[in-house]
This record gives sequence, C-alpha cells and structure tokens, in this order.
Amino acid sequence: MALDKSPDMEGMTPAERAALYKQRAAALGIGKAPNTSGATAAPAKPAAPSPVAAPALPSTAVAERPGPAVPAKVAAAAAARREQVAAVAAREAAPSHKEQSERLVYVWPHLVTIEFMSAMLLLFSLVLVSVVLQAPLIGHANLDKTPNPSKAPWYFLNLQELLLHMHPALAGVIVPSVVLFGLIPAIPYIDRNTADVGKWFGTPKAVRISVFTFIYSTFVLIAEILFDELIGVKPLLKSIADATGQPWLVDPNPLGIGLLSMTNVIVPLTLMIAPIFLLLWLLKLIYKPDTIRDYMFALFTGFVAAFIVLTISGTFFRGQGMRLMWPWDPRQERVE
Amino acid sequence: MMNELRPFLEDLSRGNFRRALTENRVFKAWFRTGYPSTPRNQALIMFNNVFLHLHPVRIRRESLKITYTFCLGGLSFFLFLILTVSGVLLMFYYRPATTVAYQDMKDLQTIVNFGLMLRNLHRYSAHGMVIVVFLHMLRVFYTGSYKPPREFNWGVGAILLFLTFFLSFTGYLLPWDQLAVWAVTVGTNMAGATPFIGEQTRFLLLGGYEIGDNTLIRWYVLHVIALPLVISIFMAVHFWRIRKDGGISGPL
Ligand code: HEM
Repeated sequence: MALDKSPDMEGMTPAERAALYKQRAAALGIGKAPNTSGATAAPAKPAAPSPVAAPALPSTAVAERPGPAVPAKVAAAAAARREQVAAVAAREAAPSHKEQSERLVYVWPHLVTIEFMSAMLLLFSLVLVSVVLQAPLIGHANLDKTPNPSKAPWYFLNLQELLLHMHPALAGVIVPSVVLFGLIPAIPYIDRNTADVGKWFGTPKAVRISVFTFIYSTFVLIAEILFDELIGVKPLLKSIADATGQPWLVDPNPLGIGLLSMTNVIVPLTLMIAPIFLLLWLLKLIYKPDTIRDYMFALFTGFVAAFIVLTISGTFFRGQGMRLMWPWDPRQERVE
Repeated sequence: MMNELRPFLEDLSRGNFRRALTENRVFKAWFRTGYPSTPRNQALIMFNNVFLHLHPVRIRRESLKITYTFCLGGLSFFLFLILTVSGVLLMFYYRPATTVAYQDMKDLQTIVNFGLMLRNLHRYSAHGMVIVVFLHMLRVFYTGSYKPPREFNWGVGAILLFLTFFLSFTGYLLPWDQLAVWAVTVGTNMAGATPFIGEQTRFLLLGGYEIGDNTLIRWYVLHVIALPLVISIFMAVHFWRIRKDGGISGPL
C-alpha cells in the first residue's frame, strides 16, 4: 500500500512521519473531492508532484479507495495505526498453532461432561430432598381468617422486613425497583476497567474491602433493626415533636404528600443512605481503595449483606404481629 | 429394494452386528455424526446438534475450571428445565379454579402415583432456582465478568433475575392454601403502595379488588405460559450474547 511505512521513514519522529503520510495522501489524491466532470471513477492523477520519492504505486493505491474521497487526515491516521499494529505484531510473535490449540479444548467431551455431571448431581440431590422432606400444604384458603404472622415467600421477606420500618411505597416498590432496575444494571457503566476481569476478587484489596463491608453492613443493619424495635423512629420523633412543639415532624402526610413524611420516609431513607457514605469514608480512611472497582466491591457487598440480613431477620426473627423475637420463641407459631 | 438391503443382510449373516446397525441410512439420518472421538467428529457434533450448538466447538482451557463458574449459570438453566418438565406433569392434575385447586393438590399428594414427589421436586427446584440465579449473579460480579463487552448481558441478567422472582411468586398462589393466598395478599398490598398507580397495579394483579378466581387464573396463565415464554426468550438472548461477547470471561 502506498501509505505504508517506507524505509526512508526510519529514524523520523512520529509527528514527522504523520506529516509525511499527510503529504503522500495529498499527492495520491486521497482526500480530493470526487471528480465533478461526471466521468466514472477514473484513477485520479496525482494532484501535485510528490515532494518525496513516494513508491511509484499511485494508480493501484487510488484504486483501493474508489468513490467519495477519504479525508487525508483519516487516511494518514489509518496509516499511522497500521504502523503501530505492525510494530506490536513484530514484538509479540503470534502464538503458534500448537500453543493456541493447547489453550483451547474441545467442548465435547470436556465441558459437556462437567455440565452433565453437575446437572445429575443437582437432580439427584433434589430428588433426594423431595423424597425425605414434604413441602408445606396447610389449610384451605380462607379470606376471613388472617394468619398471624402472614408472610410472603422467603425471597420477599427482606422487603417485608423493610416494610416494618418505613412507608410501604418506599419499602415495597421504590427501593426494590431502584436496586433491580437502576443500581444493579448501572454497575458496568460505572466500573469499566477490565484489568481484573476473569479473577475472583481481582484487585489486591478486594477481599479485605469486601469482608470489612460485609461485617460493617451486618452490624449496621442489626443495630438499626434493634433501634427501631427498642426505641423506634416514631416514638423518638414524637417526643422531639412534643418537646419542641413541631407537630409536622410526626405528620404522616405533610402538605398532603405521604412521601414527605419524616417518620415514614425521610428518616428511614437517611438511615439507609447515610451508612453507605460512612462506609465509603471509612474505607477511604482504612484501606485507601485504589480504583472504582474497589468501591464497587464495597457497594455490591453491602447490597448482598442487606439482602441476606433482612431476609434472615424477616424469615426467622419475626413472629406473631411481626414482632422481633428469637427463632425458638413460641410466638413464632402461626395462628389464625 | 432387495439390492439396498443386501449389504445389511450380509453384515447380519456374517455376525458383523455393529456395522449392520450403523452403516445404514436410518442410523445415519438420526445419528448424523460418528461417535465424537476424533477432532472432526467433536466439531461436527457441536454443529449438527441443536442443543449442543449453543456452545462453541472449542473454548479456552480456563473456562473449564469449576471453581470459576461453579456451573451456576448452567445449573440455573438446568433448574428451569426440571421446572418445565415437572411443571407440565403437574398441569395434568391441577385445575386453576378456587373450588377445586386445593383438592387437586391434596389428590396429587395422596392419590397420584409419585404425585407428592413431583410436587416437592417442583417446589424445591423453584426455591433452588432463586438461590442459584442469585449466586450466579454474585459469581459474575465478583469475577468482574460484567465489564465491557458484557454490560448488555449483565442487564439481560438483571431482567432474568426479576423474571425468576416473578415466576416463583406466581406459582406460590396456585396451591390455594392459607400460605398461598396470604402471601399473595401481602405481596399485592405492597405493589398497591406504588405511587400514583398503586390502586391500578393492585387491580391488575388481582383481577379485581379482592383475591379470588380472577386472581388465580391470571397467576396461573402467567405462571405456566406467559412468564416461561418470556424468560425463555431472554435466556436465548443471554446465551447468544455469551457467544458474541467471546465466550465467558477469563483472565486477559
Ligand atoms: C435465569 C437466569 C439465568 C440463567 C439461566 C443464566 C445462564 C448463564 C450461563 C449458562 C452463563 C455461562 C457462564 C456460567 O455458567 O456462569 C451465564 C453467564 C453470564 N450471566 Fe447469566 N444466567 C442467568 C441470570 C443472570 C443474572 C441474574 C445475571 C446478572 C445480573 C447474569 C449475568 C451474566 C453474565 C454477565 C454472564 C457472562 C459471564 C462471563 O462471561 O463470565 N445472568 N449466564
């Protein structure tokens, strides 16, 4: 190709070479407006005598790019890029055929066997559990008899636990929607550094940060659940409102808008979000995270911890009246 | 006709049974590839089999490591298959009407051969799928496998997670016992708290103002047809994207 690196370019700086490429491109007519005389794509004549002894290939070179002109700048950039690629290729010899086939394995039998074995193992364990353990089927549905406690399936008990502490729209709709349709899908657009792809906990501090976050989140959540049970946001705000004469503090509908309520929305939301910022600050202090990825480990681990702690709390520590109690408390039993 | 059969009969009479069985048009039509013990046949079987062709012919050696994926994505899919098969069998015995649904469940547990096991298997697989899909998401996150070029597939995954929850929850109502209706009451009351369109959302989910026959038929249709169809489509996209993104992630 006419715009490839030529021997006389040895020893030039990249900028000089780029200028040369541009000159040559111009000399070859690349970047000229298409011929307006209406003739079909006849090879354009060099517009100006080439100042440098360009390889004598103008007609084929132009034939490579028929039709509308490629701007000279683009052609020059492409040539510079080709040169880079060639340099890299020369430095790292392509893996030999043998090396490549050592890195690749046939899916049949290698992967297919693993898939089959894991599937059979799972199927047999499920059959085994199905034989020994009976799934519950209690009395016929009766809409007049409310069981106490009434619980959703376990994977929603995290939300039902949240529901005990805040406005139902916040706990049951806004928080899960924001997490599932907002925060989780957003992760890959925030953390784009691919350096640690393909490795479990791929940054040097990932494990420490994740463990710290898990323990921290577990403590904060348990503390908040206990706080709401023993002291309670509502009673606390009520006494503050009484003491200061500010009834709006406990108004469930300030300005007629439920989502502005201090007790149901603002304070619980703060209690959810503030610990996240505290966490990020603590991490910065203790672990000095290196990258966005380190913070992402923390945020996601916090989510996982919240999911687990709230699910366990809602499943095992809530009995009649959804009061907090030990799993072995007799009031855990469902009554109707 | 006889001419065509002659080689077959000759093989048989000579006791060459293996050749008699495999060297004929019927066998070759149904088993298009020879046993995959040579590289050529190992490649051909991946091309020629609609189920296997979800996979590439060859993959990177690191992708095989069990401690990398723990097979969680594959097992999510396998659980979906178990649920489909056991679910279809359950459909033979279950009628989605409030007058009979509960009795059908009872019959399934007491009269139908293996009915109890079938129901247990379906139920535990459903719980299992929620857990396994969630764990799969954790594996993808902690190995950084959502990063470019896999952002889109991570998003598809989030939709799959939502659909898995929703599928499981719609099935929860069908036994029509106290556990079922009150769990769904709790759930739909939560959905009823949606700002601005809460009432409408609840009405849509219940097919009325109160849980009843309309609710049951809605959830049944969602559970046995609509959602499985939708999740299958998203799974197809998910698997296709894995191939297009260059197979599963691995160290650079
Ligand atoms: C019904 C649910 C799902 C099924 C059947 C499924 C299936 C699979 C399978 C078979 C793989 C191949 C690798 C492996 O086995 O780990 C995979 C990879 C992947 N999945 Fe899923 N998945 C599901 C849900 C999810 C969820 C909830 C997410 C995340 C939010 C997700 C994100 C991904 C991503 C990003 C990959 C590529 C990983 C890599 O390249 O290493 N999937 N999925």
